[in-house]
Amino acid sequence: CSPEVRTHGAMPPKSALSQIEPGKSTRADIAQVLGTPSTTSMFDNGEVWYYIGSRHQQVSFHANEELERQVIIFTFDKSGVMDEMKTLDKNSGKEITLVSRKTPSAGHELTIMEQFLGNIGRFNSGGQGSK
Amino acid sequence: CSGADKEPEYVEKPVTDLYNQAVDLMNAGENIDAAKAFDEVERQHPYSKWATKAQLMASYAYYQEGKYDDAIIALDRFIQLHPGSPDTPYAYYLKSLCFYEQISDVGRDQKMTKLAQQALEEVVTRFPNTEYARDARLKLDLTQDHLAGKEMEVGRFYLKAQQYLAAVNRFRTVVDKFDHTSHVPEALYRLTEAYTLLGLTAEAKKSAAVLGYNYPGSDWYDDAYDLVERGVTDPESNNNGEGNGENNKSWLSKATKWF
Amino acid sequence: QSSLGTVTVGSRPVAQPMPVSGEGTIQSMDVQGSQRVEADTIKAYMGLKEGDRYSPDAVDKAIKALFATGLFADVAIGFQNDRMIVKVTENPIINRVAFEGNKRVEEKTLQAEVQLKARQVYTRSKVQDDVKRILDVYRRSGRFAVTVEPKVIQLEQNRLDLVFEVNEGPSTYVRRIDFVGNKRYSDSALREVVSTREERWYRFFSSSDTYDPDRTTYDRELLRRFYLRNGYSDFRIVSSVAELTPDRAGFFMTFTVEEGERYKFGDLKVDVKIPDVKPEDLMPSIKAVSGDWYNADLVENTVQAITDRVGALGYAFVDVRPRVKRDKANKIVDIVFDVQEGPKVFVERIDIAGNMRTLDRVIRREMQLVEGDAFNSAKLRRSREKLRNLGFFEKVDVTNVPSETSPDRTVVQVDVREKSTGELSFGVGWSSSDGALFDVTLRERNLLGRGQDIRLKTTIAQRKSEIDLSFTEPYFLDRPLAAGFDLFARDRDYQKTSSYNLKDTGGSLRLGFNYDENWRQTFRYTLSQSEVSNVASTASTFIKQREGEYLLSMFGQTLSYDRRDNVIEPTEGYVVKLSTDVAGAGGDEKFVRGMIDGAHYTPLTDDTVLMVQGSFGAIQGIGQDVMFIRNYQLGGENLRGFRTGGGSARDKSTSDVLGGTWIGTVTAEVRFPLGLPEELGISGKTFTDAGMVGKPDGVNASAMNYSSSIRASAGVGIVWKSPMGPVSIDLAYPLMKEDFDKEEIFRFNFGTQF
Repeated sequence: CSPEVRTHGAMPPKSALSQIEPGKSTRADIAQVLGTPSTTSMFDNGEVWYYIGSRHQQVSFHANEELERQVIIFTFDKSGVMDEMKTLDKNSGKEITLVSRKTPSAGHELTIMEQFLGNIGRFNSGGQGSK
Repeated sequence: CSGADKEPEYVEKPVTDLYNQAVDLMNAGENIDAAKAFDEVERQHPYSKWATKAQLMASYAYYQEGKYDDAIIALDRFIQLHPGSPDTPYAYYLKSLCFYEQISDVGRDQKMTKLAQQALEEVVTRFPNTEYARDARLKLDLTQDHLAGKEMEVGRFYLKAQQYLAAVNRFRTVVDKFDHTSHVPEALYRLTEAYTLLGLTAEAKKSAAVLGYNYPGSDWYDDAYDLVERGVTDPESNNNGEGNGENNKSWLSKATKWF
Repeated sequence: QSSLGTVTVGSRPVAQPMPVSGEGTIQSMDVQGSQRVEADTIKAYMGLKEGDRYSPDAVDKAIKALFATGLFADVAIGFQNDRMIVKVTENPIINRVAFEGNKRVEEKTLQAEVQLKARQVYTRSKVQDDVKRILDVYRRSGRFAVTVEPKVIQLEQNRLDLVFEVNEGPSTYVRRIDFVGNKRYSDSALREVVSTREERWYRFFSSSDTYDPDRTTYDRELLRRFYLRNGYSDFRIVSSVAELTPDRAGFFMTFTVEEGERYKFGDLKVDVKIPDVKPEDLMPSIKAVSGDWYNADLVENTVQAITDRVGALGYAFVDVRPRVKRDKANKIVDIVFDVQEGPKVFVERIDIAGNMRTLDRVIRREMQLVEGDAFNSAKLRRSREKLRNLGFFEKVDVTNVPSETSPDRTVVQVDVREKSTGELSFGVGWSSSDGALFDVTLRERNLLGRGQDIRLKTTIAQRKSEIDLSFTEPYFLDRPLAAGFDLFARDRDYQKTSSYNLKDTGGSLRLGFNYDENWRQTFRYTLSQSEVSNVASTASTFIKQREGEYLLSMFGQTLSYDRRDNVIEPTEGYVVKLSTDVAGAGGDEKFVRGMIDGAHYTPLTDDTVLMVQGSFGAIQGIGQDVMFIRNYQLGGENLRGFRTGGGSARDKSTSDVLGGTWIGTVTAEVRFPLGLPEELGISGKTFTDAGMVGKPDGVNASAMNYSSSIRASAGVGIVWKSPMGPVSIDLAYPLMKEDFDKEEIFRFNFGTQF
């Protein structure tokens, strides 16, 4: 039996998308049909709307694999009517390697011994509710 | 069996001797015994002015020994009994330190960070122009930075799991709500990464531009510049000059990295 | 006129309560009776100072404020022509808090639990709270008939000693758990289902044998889920009662249940109310098969599968609800899965709280929902289930609350309460093959909060001593791939059968994963040093010539297919396992080895189970003879009625056991109740064992007694779940044997783990 395919993010069906027409649907219409956008454009108080969704599959020991992706972009004219709808898929993305560096942050990290011995003091006492 | 921490016999001593004995213990680093001795001062002479001082010294001893819960209980009692005393600002401040010291790393529950934030805010609002407030404001920024670190940790988790939408929203939260923290440059860079992976080159260029404008000297901007302008696919290995080479991290080194 | 009107609100009545008459400005204020609390602190709390206007309600407010501080036993405010007199009596200060009569719970625990401490202010309400807290501590450790009397000893300077006199009353252990109305499953089977255990002397570590009402409700849910999993869709718990034993020293717990009929799945349909999704698309997602026994877990799995399937078809907002219709007459359950569009809500954030030790990612990676996803309650339930299965948490709550930012967003909150995942367990036992044995295991299942499992086990027995350390990372390289290593040192004494000792020291690396729920695959590489030592002078020459050290470098895999209904006490289903090994790769030993074994369980009647088990293994040297230490042994565990290796080839002159390069064994066993009273926990078994074994390499026939004939035996035995632990006694009589075989009619095996 094929392992289940899982959907993440906003993946509106064709039937919903067909109700939206450039030049006619306003922001309110789109939000009514598709729900609020997954995310909006940055630093211009959300002019452009994005609906981002993807399908994933996880087979035996392989990592979670992204099968397909749908990024819908709505741009609007001055009066708030949608003037263009673009759709990107997985191939329009660019494969890159993530930087492994991290900005350091403080905080008390448990040492192995501290955590290991910490348990000896309180056996697995079930209902006792150890401190 | 009586054990070591037997209740010290109930010896009636003049308050000043008791107090000095406690101070000596503290200076000798015997914090727990010092705390017990200060408690003794207060127990035998609850109405002397030494008692008030002793309460505070006891909580300081507990704090130094890392017994934060006992210190907090003692401080709360001091604040309740002497709301107007000149030492009360110090009591509030010490209490905020008790929470602050217990902040756990970003991978775990941040309850202590939030408690520390509340206690520090109390110090700043109640006693704005004391030197405690100055240090409290500094520590407040650090707790804010720590919470931003938590958001970044989750954002990186989603980015690695190819959940780009979840990652974008987490990094946006850092840029919008934690804009004075040390994590903003990396947040902007991660946005550049995520948008590039999604194919939203316009957004990628925008976040790289904002990163360059606000943090021109940072390594993050170098990487962003490589990514967006020069089309490099592995900025990190590019930093140390290997150009666009295939990712030189062998499978094994990646695997052992997480040990 | 001096109207000393005093308005008092306090616990102790005062002589003439007269309201303050009239108003005016306070010329001066005089505080009397305060010893410890400074006067200006009292003024600060009252909110009134010289020069303020006063009025009856202002005064009343002041009094209430003073009482609110909890510092004062009594407050009185009076006036002598605009001179305000505040008379307070401070609450006494506690000098010492002591406990008497506490045996079960030590003083230290009680001191930590109680709020009132030395040097604190004594108030009656705080004392009552502390009494309640003490009772709570006792309730948690299983004692309910406890009374606590607070006593006060007045001291000078308004101080007092507070003593809690505790009368612990009888201990409330669960003496026995009974079930009424259960026909299909025996009391002892159901006792394994509930989490409460009967009192046993060796259970001094765990408190699962103390009576705790919350755990009883949890037990009811466990029982219900168990029965619903096995087809009893009508199952109902009539009552669960805990009566105090006559000697008031423990509880008898009785669960009265109504099993009802055992149902089978009738027809299973899907009713879809989503445009252009047809029922046929969803039929393959139905996990249950009509005609099989009803199983509530399969219904839930179907709901999850349909939810995912509909999501994949583009409808993320889906709500799947099973509509169950019971046909009592012919015991059939028809189910229609209603699939309709759910509310359009997205997950804004997933916040995880309570993880003091477990890392956020160890929890987040189990979640079925990701931020930005369409919200779905089935996935929420699945996430909670997966977090529970980790075994790190005492309590897991996964809920969602509407988010403030927008109506179609919700925030998922994961709240966990961690439990100690460290285990320190001891085992004592005796078995025919190893003699008396004692083992200690130290284990931590959530090392450093990373979800990693580390275990150190040492076993000391008459004929075996062993120490091994094993470590496993369940999500190696961020994928469901369990990677781990083991380090071991073993020393086995085979003097009795083959007059030599075998030492094994080394380690292995392993990788394991599931293809799906039933298929599991593991790969391993083992590197170990084997040493055949202190070979007796009278030993067989074949053994003597092999004295020395050998390096083993071996790759291996195991593939298993498991369809049993449960792992601990299977009553239905089957399991098959195939493992193969190749040794070489720079080691001294070079061989190929394969082993296949399977077991099949069928319930004959309500409480008798037939188990048929078989296994076949073979080992083949590559360009060299197989070392006798790797040979298979027929007899003992795998062929009752014969001593360990009793049926294998043996040296003609010294009768040392040499083993064989292949082996085949089969066992059929029926377990049945002996009709003894249920609580004795004794059940009987009858069995027949049969087996064949091959010859050892490099030994010519004339030097050994060997026969490849079939050996068989039959026998009876009992299994006794004694208070000391499980005991099994077998009496087996060899039916087909060779005259040089070594028999062993009586086998005894006892082991307790606590």
